[in-house]
Amino acid sequence: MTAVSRLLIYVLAGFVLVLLQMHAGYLFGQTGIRPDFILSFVVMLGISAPLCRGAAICWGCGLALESVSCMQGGVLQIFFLGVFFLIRLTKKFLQFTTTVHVMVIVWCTQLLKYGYLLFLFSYVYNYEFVFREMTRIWIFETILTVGCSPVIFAFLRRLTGDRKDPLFDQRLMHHGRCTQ
Amino acid sequence: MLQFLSRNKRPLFLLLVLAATLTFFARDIHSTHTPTIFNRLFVALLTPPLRITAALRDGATFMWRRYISLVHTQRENELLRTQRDALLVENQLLQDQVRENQRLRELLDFRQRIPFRMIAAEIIGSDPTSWFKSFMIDKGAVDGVMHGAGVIAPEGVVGRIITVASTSAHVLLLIDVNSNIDAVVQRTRARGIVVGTGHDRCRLAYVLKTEPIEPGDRLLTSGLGGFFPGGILIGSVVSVSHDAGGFFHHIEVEPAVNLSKLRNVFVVVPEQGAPR
Repeated sequence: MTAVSRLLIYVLAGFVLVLLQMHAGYLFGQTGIRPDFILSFVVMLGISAPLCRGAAICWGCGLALESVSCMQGGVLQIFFLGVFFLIRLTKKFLQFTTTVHVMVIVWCTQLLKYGYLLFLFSYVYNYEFVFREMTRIWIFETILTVGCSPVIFAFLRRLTGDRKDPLFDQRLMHHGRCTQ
Repeated sequence: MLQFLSRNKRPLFLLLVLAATLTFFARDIHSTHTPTIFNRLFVALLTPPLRITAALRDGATFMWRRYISLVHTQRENELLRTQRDALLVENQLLQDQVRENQRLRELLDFRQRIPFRMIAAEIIGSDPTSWFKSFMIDKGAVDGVMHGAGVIAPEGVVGRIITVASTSAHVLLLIDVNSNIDAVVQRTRARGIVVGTGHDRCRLAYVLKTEPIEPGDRLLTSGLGGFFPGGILIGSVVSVSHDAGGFFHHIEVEPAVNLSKLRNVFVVVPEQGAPR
């Protein structure tokens, strides 16, 4: 698979996941708590995508989500880029060989997300509802996100054509150079 | 210069992405969410596939209801006929009252109420995050939808339009933490503001402890602000409590509309040329 077609697949996958996330209300209730598919996608990009293209797609995903939600500008862009760089920096020390490993990583990023949002909502945007409400949302959203992450990973692996490899093989892990 | 750019293209690209992100963050830090050209571009890109997927989803639901779930149709049909007859009688009585009310207003030389028209819209996607309560509808500026317009369903108030694209718009639900709607209590005419809490219920704020509010009281739109006509049901009071030292009641409100199962809404816009 060429670098350009891989990039196109990543962009398409991001687009499909944003659409899926917007329709998740149909399954989880229009106003209900839903899994964060994009977070799993960003974790996968952090593990397998080249630096520049991965960063650009993470930024695009954040911007797309902010465009169709009430979230203030930049919040999700910063977070997704942060997660992407963090995973790239730490991936040499972490294991991504089994589904359980990946689920643990997604759980950690979900924890990180709520720490970050709790700080922003309490001290920067001064929302009243924050602590009690966010704890409730965090518990359910984390269960759903972590539960759905293996499906998302399997879907993305199928798209990128890495069917025979273990979940994230060494070839993908070291494919980090920008070839643009 | 070109050599420098080509040698450092990776750090420069990452710097550009980071700078763009921080610009977006700084822009919205002390203001409400205002769409940029990039946001508009993404909304324009996402709207057509959202329409298609919403149509597919509705088609599947329709098929299910039409062909598989026909078990109670006969009984439902009879019930609906009975309800329709009752509503027709009620409608005639109400029309008489409206005419009488108009006549009396003319006699008293009251200012005429702002005329509104309603634009039917379908929900094509909901907020992708779990913290905010909003959704997208398939009508936008070209259909006459405007920023701030009220959104209602047959059961009552749904929310307000916060951003408008050319063929879609974004609705902030009344249960969202950023939502504020001016309301009156139907029984006592006490005024307050219905504020979203971020979960299934709202609260009625700024109602003095001296006001006799009880569970079950119905809240209506006040008509102030010009975005909602007066008298539309918002919800009903579920519980009332207050602090010993405070001035106001703590009033919990159950919205009249079941927002989690909503599919179609009406956008209420003032008639063209009407005073705002």
